[in-house]
Amino acid sequence: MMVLLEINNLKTYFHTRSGSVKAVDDVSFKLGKGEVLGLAGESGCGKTTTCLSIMRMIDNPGEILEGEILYENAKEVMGSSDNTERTNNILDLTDAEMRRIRGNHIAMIFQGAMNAMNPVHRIGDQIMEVLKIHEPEVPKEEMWQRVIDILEVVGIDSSRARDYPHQLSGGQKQRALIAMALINNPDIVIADEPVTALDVIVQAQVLKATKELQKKFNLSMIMITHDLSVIAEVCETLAIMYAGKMVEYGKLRTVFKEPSHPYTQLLIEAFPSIVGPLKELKDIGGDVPDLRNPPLGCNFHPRCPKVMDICRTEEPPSFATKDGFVACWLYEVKKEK
Amino acid sequence: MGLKSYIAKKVLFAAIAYFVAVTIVFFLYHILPGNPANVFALDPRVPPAVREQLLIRWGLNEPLWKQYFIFLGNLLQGDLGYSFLHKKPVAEVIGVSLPWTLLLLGTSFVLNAVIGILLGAFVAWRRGSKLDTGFVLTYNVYNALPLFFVGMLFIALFGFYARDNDWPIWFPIYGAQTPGASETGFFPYLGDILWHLFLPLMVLTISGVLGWSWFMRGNLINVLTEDYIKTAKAKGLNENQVLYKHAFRNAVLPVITSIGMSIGGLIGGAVLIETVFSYPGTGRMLYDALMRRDYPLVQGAFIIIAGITLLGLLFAEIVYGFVDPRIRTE
Amino acid sequence: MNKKLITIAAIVAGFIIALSPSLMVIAQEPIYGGTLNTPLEADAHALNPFTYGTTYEWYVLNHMYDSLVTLNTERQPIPNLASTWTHNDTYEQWTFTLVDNAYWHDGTPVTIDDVYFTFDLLLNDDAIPRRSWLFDEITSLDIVGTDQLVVTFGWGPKPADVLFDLATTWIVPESVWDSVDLYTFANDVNPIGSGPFKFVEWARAQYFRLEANTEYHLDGPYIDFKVLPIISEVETQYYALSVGDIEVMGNPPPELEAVAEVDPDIEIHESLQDYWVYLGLNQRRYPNNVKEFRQAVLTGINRSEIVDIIRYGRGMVSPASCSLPYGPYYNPDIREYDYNVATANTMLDNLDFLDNIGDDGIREDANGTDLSFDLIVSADAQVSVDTCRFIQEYMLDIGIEVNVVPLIWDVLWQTVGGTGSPTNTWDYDWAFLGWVGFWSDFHPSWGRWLFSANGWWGSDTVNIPGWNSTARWEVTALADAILYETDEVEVKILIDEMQEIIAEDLPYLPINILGGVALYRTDEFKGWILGPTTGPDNWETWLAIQLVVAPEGGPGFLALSAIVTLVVSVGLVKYRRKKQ
Repeated sequence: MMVLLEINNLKTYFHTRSGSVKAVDDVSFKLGKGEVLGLAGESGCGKTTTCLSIMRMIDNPGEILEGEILYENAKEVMGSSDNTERTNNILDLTDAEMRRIRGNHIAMIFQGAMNAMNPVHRIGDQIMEVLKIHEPEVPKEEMWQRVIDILEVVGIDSSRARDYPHQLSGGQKQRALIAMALINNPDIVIADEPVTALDVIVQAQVLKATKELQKKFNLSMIMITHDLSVIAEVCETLAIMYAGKMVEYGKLRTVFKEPSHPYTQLLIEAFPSIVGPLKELKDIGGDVPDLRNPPLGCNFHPRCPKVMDICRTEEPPSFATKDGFVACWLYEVKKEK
Repeated sequence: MGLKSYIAKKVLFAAIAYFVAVTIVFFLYHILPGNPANVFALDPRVPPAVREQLLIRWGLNEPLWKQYFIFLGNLLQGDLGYSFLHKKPVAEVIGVSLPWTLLLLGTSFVLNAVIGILLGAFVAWRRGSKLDTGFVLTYNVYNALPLFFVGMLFIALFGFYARDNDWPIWFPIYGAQTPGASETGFFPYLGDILWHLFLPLMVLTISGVLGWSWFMRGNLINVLTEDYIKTAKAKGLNENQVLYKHAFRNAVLPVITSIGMSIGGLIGGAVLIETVFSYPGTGRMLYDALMRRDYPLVQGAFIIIAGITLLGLLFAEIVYGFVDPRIRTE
Repeated sequence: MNKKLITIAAIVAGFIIALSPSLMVIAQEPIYGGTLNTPLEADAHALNPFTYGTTYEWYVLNHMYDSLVTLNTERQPIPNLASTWTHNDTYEQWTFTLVDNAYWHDGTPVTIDDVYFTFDLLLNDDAIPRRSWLFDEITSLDIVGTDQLVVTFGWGPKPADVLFDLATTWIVPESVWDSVDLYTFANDVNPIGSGPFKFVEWARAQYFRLEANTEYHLDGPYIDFKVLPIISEVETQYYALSVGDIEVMGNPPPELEAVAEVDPDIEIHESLQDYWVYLGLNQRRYPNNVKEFRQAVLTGINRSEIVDIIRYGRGMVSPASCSLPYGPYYNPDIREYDYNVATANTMLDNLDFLDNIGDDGIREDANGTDLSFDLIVSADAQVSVDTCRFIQEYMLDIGIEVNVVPLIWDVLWQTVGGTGSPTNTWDYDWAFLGWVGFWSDFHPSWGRWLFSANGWWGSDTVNIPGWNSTARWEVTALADAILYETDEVEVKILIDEMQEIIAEDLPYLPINILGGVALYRTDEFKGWILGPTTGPDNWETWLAIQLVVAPEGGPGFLALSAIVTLVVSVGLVKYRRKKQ
């Protein structure tokens, strides 16, 4: 599988008066063409910050400190001249170049039931705006036709194009946002909690539609959620984040069936399974650490049921698993064997 | 519901509100101790025969409800009554002062709205910068000073001190024009009027601009944290496009509402400023009429002011309907 | 001619040329020109000389309208439209002779018909208030010859009454006023009078512009224009005065008066106002009706402290007779009530008003009721409220409890019965009020207006303090006697007696006479005329005031005066030499 996006050692910190918040700390992962990556973890673990870093939409006081985000088609947005000397690292792009990435190559969908659409503009216009920015040469009628088409694709009646966001239901708004993301055939779509605020039936409909569209366009997707059941439905790969770090990465099946990291194990146990046998739900004791002042060693060790001495003093590196990696000292021994 | 029916509804509500306001004004001035019949009854200089004659002439001998209907009927014909003091129709008396007030308030209003909104957007976009800090400081300091005090300060500084110390420019501290300036030709006369307008306008406008930009700044800062701003950025829009196409219009919505609401306050401020600068406006005239118990004039002035205020509110609501689709498509 | 002579002549001439402006003054040659700016605190409403209601309107109208007789700054009658006036022995018949050179502002002459018309209007038209009570007493008006008006009364009012009250009525042109509704005529477009100034423009709430009446029948005015800008704030007036926008202002705040003192171009004039304030003890109630109690209360009030602190030293403590302390009718030998706590306490002790019940420091009256009174005062006037708070403190020192109750003016006025309404209840203990415009200093009828049971204010319908002792009837009788007395000496004796009775019986407890302060500039204009009760901006000043320096005299004027002075000085020197 062709790697479309590769993130290496990404560090995004927020500088506050009481110290730097290490929102994303040394995160690395890859996203292949047509792959759907789920990014899971508790609230505040750095999922959204990771994705906003990819979009380079980190506002003050946040800052991308280190790392690289290599995007396969980055050169497409560069000026024709000195392409050869430049890398694919989108962190090195100029602001203008980055704007050509956004919406065009990498699109992001925010939680649609909330306020992700501007209340004072018609949804059709809001969708068309993407085309206006990135393909201003296209005639307006054609643009509008494409808006109508994409709305049909996501399952919204074309007559609703002239409606305002408040006239749509939550599910329709979410579909409209998907349409907005898809209209310019991006390579990658990042969806941040796309169905969280929707009720379960609508959730299922939207997810189904999303999956179909992903398949249809062979999209690469990053799906941020704290809801593992959502991930189970659409993702192929799963990355688990905890306190700014990526603690486990692997194929969905592997991570679900044989979770390596104690946190992943607890996370999966904490979710009810609709199909499996009825089990007692467990919650993970303790709280997410203060990222301004994270604990020494492994971030998870204060809550970890399998904590060892080394966890308290040294940060675990990534150890390879069957089809990914895990950042936990438990697996050091295995590697030495 | 479309825009048309929205506007129709608002116009109807405004008309009802106006009717209620006019009714309250009428009864207020017929019930209060300074009521017109009392004024004659209390004034020992008016001989009883004259008093009787006047009461009949002004219709004050009729029962209150009858007076009310006569008043309403006259009002429909545009007759606001007759000023005892000025010995002229109320409309004529107000007609002399209203243009000055409209000049002062209208200019100030437009400047407040335009500069206030733009300045607010400007500092909000640069939140945390030195400019923004300076703005916040200025707003809080100026806001702590009473308008009256600022007026007197301006008079002392730009009217007196400047002239006493031969500054290159100084401003008149009273009146709306130099006596005889109207005979100097159109442009010199206009210049004279603007010269006289400057100080009162500045006092009103500085406070207005600061207040409105403060409000706008807060709105825009809030709006900039909304998800649709992130959506817009994620589309690839640049900062200006985000600001003007997405943030600005949403931030301006509450400002429009407050524009309508602020008209009443503006008139209140005008009474003060017109008095401080001896400006010949309706506010000062109303104050004088109140003090002198010229009840038809007071009533007429309130009817006009209520009308202007309601028109302002209606205008704001209609604009709001245009700007915010959520209102007109409910 | 020898050289010495020429040299001396040249030097003298040089001196004279240099000093010529001041020589002009010595020569009393008037300087024409200039615009005098005198501010108004508030706008007029209309310019109707019959129905005006504010001092501002009176002030504006007084520039444009003349009367038969005008009062000067000493409050003495001087001829205006009437060149002379005479009366018969019984004062019943008065003859006014019209000047022959007075013109209306439209150029037509002022005729005796206009005078008759004006008087007849006030006599017979019910729609307009009469400005003088004497109109009620007129039995006939007659024109004699071409220039005389004979006014006949049913009895003989004194010269002060006739001249001050009746003859100061503004005369209006018949041609304008015979065709208008007197009550509703605003007269604001082109008011025609015969006064020293003509109407040019009235920009409402902004200014009045007047120009000198060059055809005026008296000397003056010498200025070209008079502008009356309306400046609401007294501080702004002061700034305007400082920079020379206006030439005069009244009643500056004390702190600005202090600033003005050091300005070499600004002079200060202090005067007394015809306005005094009093404490009214409702004598319908016990113990207010006890004379000795009223005397004790007045003795217990530190009135000079009130003048010094609350009035910033402006004005003075009022004589107990309630009359102004100057003019022909003032009696200085009346009883005085100098502040003395001990005396006041003794007076109350003598009344047997002691603090017998409880030890609360409050005395009781003969019925054993605490001497505790509500003092009502107009909430509109902070100065009055402040005065009442002072009185409250003074009263505590003599064992009387006072509660200050500020009321809005209408309610206050109704409560004290000032409206003269038949439903008056006079439901109050003490009230703080004032009287304005009773001309006690020169008017023999002053006492009648205020105190006589036959006058309006002293009558049973009003009688604010409820004065009803035997003294009231003595004063009423005196007032009647004064009214019909034709011998000036006898009048003076009667008024003296009346003042003594009032000062002894104290129907009102007079606190202080208000003072006025005016600031005026002396750098541009000279000839301000000042009086004990008038500020610098008065009718006499308007006629007399002129520029200090001739406006733009021009080289021609200077050259002419140089030649004249040269010739004169050469002549003088020659004359001297000849003598030698």
